[in-house]
Amino acid sequence: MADQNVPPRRPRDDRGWDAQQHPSSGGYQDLTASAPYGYDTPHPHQGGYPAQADPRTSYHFAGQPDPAPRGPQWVGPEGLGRPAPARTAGAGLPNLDDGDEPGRGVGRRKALVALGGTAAVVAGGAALAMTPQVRGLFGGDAAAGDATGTTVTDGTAARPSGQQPSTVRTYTEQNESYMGSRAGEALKKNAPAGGRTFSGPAAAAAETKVTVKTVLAKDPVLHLARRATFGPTPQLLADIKRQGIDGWIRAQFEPDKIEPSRAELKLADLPTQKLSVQQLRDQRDQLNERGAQPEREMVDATVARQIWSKRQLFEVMVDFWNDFLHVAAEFDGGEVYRSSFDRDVVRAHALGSYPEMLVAANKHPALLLYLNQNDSRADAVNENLARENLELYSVGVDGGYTEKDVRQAALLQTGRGVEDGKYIFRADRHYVGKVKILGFTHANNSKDAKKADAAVDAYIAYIALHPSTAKYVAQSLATRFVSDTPPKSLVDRLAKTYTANKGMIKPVLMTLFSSSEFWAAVGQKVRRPMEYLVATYRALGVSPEASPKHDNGDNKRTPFARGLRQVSDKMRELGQFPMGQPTPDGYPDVYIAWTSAGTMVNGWNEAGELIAGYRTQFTYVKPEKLVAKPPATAGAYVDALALRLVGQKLTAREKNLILGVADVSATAKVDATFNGAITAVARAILASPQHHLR
Amino acid sequence: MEKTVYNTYPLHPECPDLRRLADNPAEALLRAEADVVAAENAAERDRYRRLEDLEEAQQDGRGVTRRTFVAGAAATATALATAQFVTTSASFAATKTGTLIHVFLYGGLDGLSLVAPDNDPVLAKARPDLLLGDDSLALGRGFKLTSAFKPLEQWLKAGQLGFIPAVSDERLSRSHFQAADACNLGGLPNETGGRGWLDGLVDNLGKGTAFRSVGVGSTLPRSLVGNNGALSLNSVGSLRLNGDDRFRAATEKAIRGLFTGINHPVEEAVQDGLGALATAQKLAAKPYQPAEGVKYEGVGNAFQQLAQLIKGGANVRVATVGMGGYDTHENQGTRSGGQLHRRLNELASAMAAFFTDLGPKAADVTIMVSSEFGRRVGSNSGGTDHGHGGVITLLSGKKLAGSLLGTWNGLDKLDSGDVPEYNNMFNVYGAVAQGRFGLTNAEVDKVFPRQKYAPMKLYA
Repeated sequence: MADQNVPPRRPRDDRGWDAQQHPSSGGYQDLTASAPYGYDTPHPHQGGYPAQADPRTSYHFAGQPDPAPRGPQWVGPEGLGRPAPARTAGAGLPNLDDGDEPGRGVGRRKALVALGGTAAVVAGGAALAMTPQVRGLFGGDAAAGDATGTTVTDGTAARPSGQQPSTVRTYTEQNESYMGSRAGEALKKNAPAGGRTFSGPAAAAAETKVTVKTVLAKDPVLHLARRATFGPTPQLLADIKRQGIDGWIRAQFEPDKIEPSRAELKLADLPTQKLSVQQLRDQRDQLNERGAQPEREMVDATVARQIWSKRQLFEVMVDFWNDFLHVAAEFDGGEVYRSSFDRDVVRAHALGSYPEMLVAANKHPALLLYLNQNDSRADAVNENLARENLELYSVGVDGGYTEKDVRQAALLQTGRGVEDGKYIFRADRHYVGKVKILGFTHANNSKDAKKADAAVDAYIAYIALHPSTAKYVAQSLATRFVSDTPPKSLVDRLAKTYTANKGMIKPVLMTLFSSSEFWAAVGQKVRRPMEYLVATYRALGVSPEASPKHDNGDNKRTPFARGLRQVSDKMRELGQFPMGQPTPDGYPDVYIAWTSAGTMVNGWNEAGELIAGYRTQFTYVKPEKLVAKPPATAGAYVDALALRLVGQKLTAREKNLILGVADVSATAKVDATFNGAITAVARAILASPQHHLR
Repeated sequence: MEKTVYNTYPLHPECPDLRRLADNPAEALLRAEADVVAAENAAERDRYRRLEDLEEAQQDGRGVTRRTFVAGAAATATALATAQFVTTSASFAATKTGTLIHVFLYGGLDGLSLVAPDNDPVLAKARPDLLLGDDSLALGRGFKLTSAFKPLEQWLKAGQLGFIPAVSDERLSRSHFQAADACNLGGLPNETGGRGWLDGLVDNLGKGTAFRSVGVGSTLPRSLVGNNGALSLNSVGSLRLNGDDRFRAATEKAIRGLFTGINHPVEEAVQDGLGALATAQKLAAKPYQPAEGVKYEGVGNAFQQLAQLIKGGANVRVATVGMGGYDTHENQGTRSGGQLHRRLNELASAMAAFFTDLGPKAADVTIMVSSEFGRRVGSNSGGTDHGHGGVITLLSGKKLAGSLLGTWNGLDKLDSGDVPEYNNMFNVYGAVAQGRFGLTNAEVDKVFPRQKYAPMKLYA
């Protein structure tokens, strides 16, 4: 269920961070804490938060005189409705502080407030908390107001945290942070220093000489299958060969024209996936009674598509965007809104335009609730979404913004929210006044909902096309498709394409697949746990129909639905499942984050279970039938099996290691079951670097 | 993993064979001991295997569960029998032994809900709804401790539980991501070269086993990323290849060979993991039996894995456990029955269970509990917003210098509404590690590259 690990949040929670860094230890969750917010709670309005006794909700901005220009209200000890103390804000800039979450003002003094003193401090942090009696203790409010006004800050310019992230690099983007260690050095040595773009992918594949030492076969068809899909299958390799590299990529660029797989047609088995937001809201109680969990069925459906869809590049990109513009599947409101976000935002634009995706996301209830935008108002600004829009979803932490930019973006975005399950712009909550965010300026002088909303859209589109965003998207794509430490030469060219094409994705991918860097990087990526499991299902040719011997008992859910849940539960155990990261930063995409011995062994064990085919919700190929006509000698059988499972033959040394599993020589006679060792032998191949690397 | 020397009897500390096992005597002794345990376990296992095979021959079916259960019972018994030897060895060489466990509370713990000055007028005004209850425990220097920590009272009385208030660092912002990153690295990413602080610390600890650095979880915790290799695992029991017993050893060997010379740094992580399998299988061959009366719940499950490793002689030197749910913007619940109180109680119960379970071996263990930042002094009506000046908790096998440690200059002067930084976070980290492992100031200094280490008196 949503948010099991955090205290219930109040609507104006300034940062809905789930605080779950280690997926498994985070599993020790306090279930009772979430009970009042559980699925069974009626969610009267606004994304499922119970109505809060927040004093500010009684405050109506519209009722106030509306001098222009003016900043947001500072809410002092006297409470609400009191005009903000006069503060000098330069050049029509908004006043950047309120009593809620002090911004990290730049250039402020580190002010130690003397007691007498204490009153001011308290007012800064907790003005709203005070009862009249407590307020009385302070004997007037003038001192408090002044002190708060100058001390609500997070340190001086001398403090790294008080400065612009790009100057001091207070926080490096997570993939980069992970790779700033020795492992990163090793991978950088393997990456080409430069490269060039060819006329097309096939030309690049043909012209690029792969010089890096790797145990993977340097076959362009295999390389493309490993990188642009969730894992090679015999059928996929045949398709690429038949269509040619260019033809296959072209076809993948038009996913709507690719026929749905049997598994995708069977997704009707997941009843909630067909329901609209309205229906999910209306039927919440019935669904809950039936134990249907829409957000989990969405994850299950995603798993099915990753394993079986023929629109593989599309699914890879959906997964990419789900990490980049990440909204967790499980949060308060996820059960109603997350499926729609997947469908109407991520999938709608996954191969389209990123600016359009980001604009759509910023008007979608899922994101507005996930990052508390719905709670933000001109007089009580919540910076959460504004900050993540910059830090995670566009220019990136090193993109050049300051705390001032965050603050003004947060002010500009006020008014966006959710009502009756739908996006709404509440003009009465919108801050009016000039803003300047990075290079974007806007008079923002209208209370008209349409005009104000358009101003926010213009800002979102601006940051989506900012050069730093181009670079961040490029860096992330290159990290996904090429290397944990992608060459700068490639990142620069991808960013250029992104900018030249106004954020359209296909041209950027075409530049990537036409680059020598992509084709030269054979074997430089390691499958993350989810990718390993999906690739294993694909390699084993598991089919989505239940096995003939399956007994579904009196289960209401179909074997297919139950089988998918079993896969996604296993992914959860491995620490990665679609849209699973609770925090808005998405999963890390570099190998070192995932080097857990426990997870690795768990993956190998699951591979063994799948080969053995004990389960019946799906149909498994019997291990002795993986190879159509098993050779009669052990060495030839291992060759055939490796070709079947990992698409390549092994070296003599590798083959001997595999033969060692069954303790036979290459020339020994074996039957189709490898004299009883076929499961162990096939599992060893799926535990090899040939299956782990991509 | 290093080579295994099969020797049924412990080597004498002066024996030259022993010295070959590691750079320093303490380490060598521990390894010799581990080898002895390994050898004894192997012998015991073989004996039980033979018995089991006989039995199995009479029965059909896979019999895996039953067989491993019996074999495991024998193995653990042996491990426990030799455990005492390790404790003795600690006194043989007082330095650089033992285990430091860094517990990280994600979300930003409200330190003032853990320990706070008693009857403080500022707190009474600023957070009347979030004061510690009357059932609180007394601490030194006029402080009191949340009753949620009642399970740890015996260690408080013994002088082994202490708290450092007002801990921060100027590098920490109010962003969870930035602050947690800096706290786990021991500085900013560009300052530590991307290395986690525990990894830097391990530089000083000499060679070790596959279990030298352990993170409990599915991903590698940021504090362990770096040069020395680290093992992350969900449970000790998960480190076991399933399938037909006949092929297990050969499969491990094959995977090890296949991941050799692959020109990708993942090779190292896989080899480390494989190196841990043998020990883990011995330790986890049967369900873990904690000491009498010990019950692990919630986050305690993570501690149980560490207890299993430490008691089994796996030679864990640094370890980290994460716990979430401290982002208490609302409905904070400082007092008994409240949600933060319950969470802290879960943590305290887990640590108490762990130390009880370890028994005499707890003498070699220090637990340090920290969070990415503290929270605002003032309440926001029911909760607190992000702030600074948090509290670090120490539960130590060695006696501490007091129950309230470090500098405390009161709440008369606050920093932007937060508890000021009276104690630097990385000086605390450093002093905790220094006392645990007997490091020099210069050695500690290197762990935090951009900072001059100023020692703090934490241990008695």
